[in-house]
Amino acid sequence: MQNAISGSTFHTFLLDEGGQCTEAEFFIATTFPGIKRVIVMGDPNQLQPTVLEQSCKKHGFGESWLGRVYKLDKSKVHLLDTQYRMDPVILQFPNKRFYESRVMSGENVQNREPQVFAPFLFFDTQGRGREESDKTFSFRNSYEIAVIKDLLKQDPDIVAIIEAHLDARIIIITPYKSQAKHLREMCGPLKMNIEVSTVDAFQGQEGDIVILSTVRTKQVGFVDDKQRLNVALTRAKRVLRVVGDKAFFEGLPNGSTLRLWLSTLQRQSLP
Amino acid sequence: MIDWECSPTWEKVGELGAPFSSGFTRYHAKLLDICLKKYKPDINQVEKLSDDKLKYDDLEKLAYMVLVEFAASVDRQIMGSGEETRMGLDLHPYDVFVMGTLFGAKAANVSVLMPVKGGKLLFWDGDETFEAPNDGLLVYKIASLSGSARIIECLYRAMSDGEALSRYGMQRKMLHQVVDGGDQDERGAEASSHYGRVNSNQSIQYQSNDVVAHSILCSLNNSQRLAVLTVASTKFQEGFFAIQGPPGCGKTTTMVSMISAIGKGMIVTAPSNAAVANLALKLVKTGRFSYPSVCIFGDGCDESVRFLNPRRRSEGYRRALYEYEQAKSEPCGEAASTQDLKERSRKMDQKRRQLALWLHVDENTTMEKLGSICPNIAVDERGSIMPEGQLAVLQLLSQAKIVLCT
Repeated sequence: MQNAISGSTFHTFLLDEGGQCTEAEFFIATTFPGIKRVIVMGDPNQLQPTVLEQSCKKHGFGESWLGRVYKLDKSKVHLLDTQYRMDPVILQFPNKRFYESRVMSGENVQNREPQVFAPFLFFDTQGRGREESDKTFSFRNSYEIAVIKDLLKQDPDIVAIIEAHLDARIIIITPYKSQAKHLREMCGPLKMNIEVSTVDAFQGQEGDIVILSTVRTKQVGFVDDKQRLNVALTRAKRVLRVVGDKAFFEGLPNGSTLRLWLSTLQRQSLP
Repeated sequence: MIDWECSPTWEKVGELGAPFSSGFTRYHAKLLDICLKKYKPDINQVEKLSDDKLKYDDLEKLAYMVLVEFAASVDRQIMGSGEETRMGLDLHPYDVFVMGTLFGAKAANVSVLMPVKGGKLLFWDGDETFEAPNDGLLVYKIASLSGSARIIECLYRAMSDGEALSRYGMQRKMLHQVVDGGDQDERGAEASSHYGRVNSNQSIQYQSNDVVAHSILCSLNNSQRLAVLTVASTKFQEGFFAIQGPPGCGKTTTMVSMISAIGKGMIVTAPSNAAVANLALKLVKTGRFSYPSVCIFGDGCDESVRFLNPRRRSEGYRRALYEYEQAKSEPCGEAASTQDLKERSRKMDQKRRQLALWLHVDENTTMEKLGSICPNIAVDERGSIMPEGQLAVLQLLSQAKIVLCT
């Protein structure tokens, strides 16, 4: 079969989601007979390839080809620089932290209806939320679920959007499967059109309203992964709400993206 | 200590018995023997082996050394470098990846090899981890001996296959251009110019016809346009082009535009089925492509784009045809009332319409016509395509302009 194809005319190879493809897999594809041009599209600042084996990861196996090139020389990666999804306020932190403020906002995101009072808010559980682990070593946080339930009913911006657009997409995302399961149970009787998803499963998609439940309060797990946080914070078109424990985030070590994110937040909210 | 001069022969390996039972055959031992004789590894570059028996991990080391030697021999043959050939452990991280994939060795085999920071080759056998002292390459858990053996086998074949060698040479050259900033020779200079992208003021010659290209470009923003222009320009004949698309920046739109602008001869892929299906759907929605110029191969294709998959099409048609014939042959003897006849033809018509809808064609298409647009691809019980079906797949591949797969 390979011989027969080699006479054919496939000369260009285009890879989508290049940031999630390991180098080894990428090279398998590039060895297809006749391939001369390789176009790789993706985002090294979003989720990386899934590699379960920690020692493999440690030695760089979990890195994508795109990520490696990006790390070596950013100028060799062409940047698509105008986004048409997020309210500029939501874009602020990811843009600064992950894209060196090179991403601009398209005109369509500027004056959308209905007007949103606060596109982005952080809700502090003030130490009342507690992470609980289950048998599968996944985590949940019941207090955060209660906060989200209240938010869905009372947050003026969320209510305004739902009233104005009946088909608005409401998404609740969390890094943990267990939390997602419990959130789904909570949403069941609400008679609202809400989708619950894990952050990883939601990459590439978007919602009008996005609520992120960070779950952890004692130890930081993969919530603090900067690529995962970037994905979580960039899914919302109009309204983004994050529920988490402020004091816990503040106590994280210096290099933590979550901590940095929180301090940026506080600076912004000062008069 | 292994005496390298007296390399392991299959008789010796055979004697050792048990540890080699996992897929390592005499055939592999023979190959290893030949490889070692042909490319004598430099013993000083590898840690001395302490055991006097040829052990499991020794074989991994052998596999690795053959890899290294292979790279050096390619350097000599293909790259034509006049410099001292790179020997031993100084191997570019990419070399091994590319070699592993040369003959379509499965990802499982390839994934055991990875570059490390720090210098020297080391082995990790699953129970113990050693820190990498310097820069080099980690041979990670060549999970089974058959894995090592397969790599050796691949390489052995590669050594006697000129085409594979040149393909490897080309691959490597291109990669080095991207990572190391390009070679000094002409071809390298031209290829590396693409990383600087085309200048928007530069006049561009499109590969496909200008009218289509123009209408595509109008709907894009500057950075998207630049990306599409770069890949569609006649200057981009070979090499790599990497694009970063932050959230909401129109990655899919850009890709669809690229595919439209280039028009043919593309293989489009992504690590997940969902991403491929998503792209396929957008591609079909542009109205510029339809089956069979766009084909999806692979079972994972999403329901929304299954009509692009020749195998699903074929299966769908067979099933519908069977149901159609069943409806046709429903018992209605001489006493059949017009009511029954009507009912029967209604049923048949319904089946036909269903299939037409499924195949994304006009719902008035006749059953014969539907058959002609469905390839005849039969699969055996394990799901692999039968020989006669393979011909149909090949024909489709030669017709297809764009192929999508995972």
